[in-house]
Amino acid sequence: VTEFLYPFLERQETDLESVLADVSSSTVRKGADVIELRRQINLDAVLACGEAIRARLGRGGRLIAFGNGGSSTDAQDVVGDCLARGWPAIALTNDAATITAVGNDVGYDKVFARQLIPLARAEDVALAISTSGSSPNVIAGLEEAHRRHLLTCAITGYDGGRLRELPWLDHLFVAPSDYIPRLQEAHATVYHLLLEAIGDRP
Amino acid sequence: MRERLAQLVDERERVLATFLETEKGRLALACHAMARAFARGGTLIPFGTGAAATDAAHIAVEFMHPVIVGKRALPALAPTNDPTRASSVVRLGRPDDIALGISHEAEHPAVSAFLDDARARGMLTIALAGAGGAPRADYAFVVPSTDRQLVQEVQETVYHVLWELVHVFFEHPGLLDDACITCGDIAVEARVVALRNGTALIEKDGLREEVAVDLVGDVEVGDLLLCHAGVALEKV
Repeated sequence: VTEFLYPFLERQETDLESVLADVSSSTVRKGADVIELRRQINLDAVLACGEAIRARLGRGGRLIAFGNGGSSTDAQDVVGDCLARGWPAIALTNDAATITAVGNDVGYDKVFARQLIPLARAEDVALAISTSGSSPNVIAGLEEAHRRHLLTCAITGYDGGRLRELPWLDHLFVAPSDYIPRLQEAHATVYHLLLEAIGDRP
Repeated sequence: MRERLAQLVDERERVLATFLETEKGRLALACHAMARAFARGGTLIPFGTGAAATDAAHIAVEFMHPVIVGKRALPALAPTNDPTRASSVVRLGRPDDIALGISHEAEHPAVSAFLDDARARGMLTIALAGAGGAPRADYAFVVPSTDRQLVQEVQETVYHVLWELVHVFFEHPGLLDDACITCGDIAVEARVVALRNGTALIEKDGLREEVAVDLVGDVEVGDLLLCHAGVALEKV
């Protein structure tokens, strides 16, 4: 009877149930996708990179991390974790004043490179995070870091983007996916595993 | 060390798969509630401290600047992006807004205070916490692990999924309207989430409606009212 009187009400309820069911099952599929990406992380490469970073930090170097958007918050997160382990670390994106100044006066492509010029020391480590692997300011930042003899490390997605074309890049981790939310979740695992390999400051 | 890293990856897989299988239904309901709040003009306010402050910033940019071309930008503000610490939910929050509190541990006092504050203001509240937590929120999601970095990674999947699936509900605009809560044959109990010029905004099962409160005297946010046909009949 209610269906005859309020056909729309009934239809809406059915729609809601089916949309909720779709949404629930797609949640589980998304989880399976990131699990697959995590299984593909090269643990030997993580160990090698962790040891190389630790050697630099042991010589008095600092971890300097940078990225755009969600990756900028990853840079802040890995730096916070590094500081918690007793090592000095800097997130370039913590400085909104310098970034907006350089972005406005020189160009956004130059923000990280410009910050590294006065800050970086040869014993430091540059850790770039870019989902596309091709952000011009991230590439320029790594180039500047390489010129200044920093250890250069990068975490990216897709097929590695332009980062793949940098022959001097010391360590590169690619989460092979073209879907940003999932590859970004795998990035968090890569840098958390790196921190495990780096260990605490003695 | 290599074995240790392999163990960490396995543990992530186990916890994430279990968590999503257990929580998929409530995650869908939380997405629906968030989509309705955005449809009412709400703003998302994500909050965490320490490492979780970076998640709050991540959530804000996720909603404000969608990574998928064609998805609409949704309003979000992370108070922790303000180094003066003067942005608080007390100043920013309105009843239509969404509070999302994040803690990588069982409980964090600042996050609990944020959620209580938001709830008192009638906001939709969502909490993400680690094992042992029991956050007071409309939708609380507890990740069953005490490894804070693992918890954080599961929570990143959760907030990405919330963002992705809120947009699914925007493709079904008929599911975003507030149906009449008090129009049925029998009176219903509903919680007061805000007061507006002599009326009360009530909520039941995520739906909201304004009712007259002349019959019940003094009403406060959080009161449970028995309502029928747009009128509050008595306090429960």
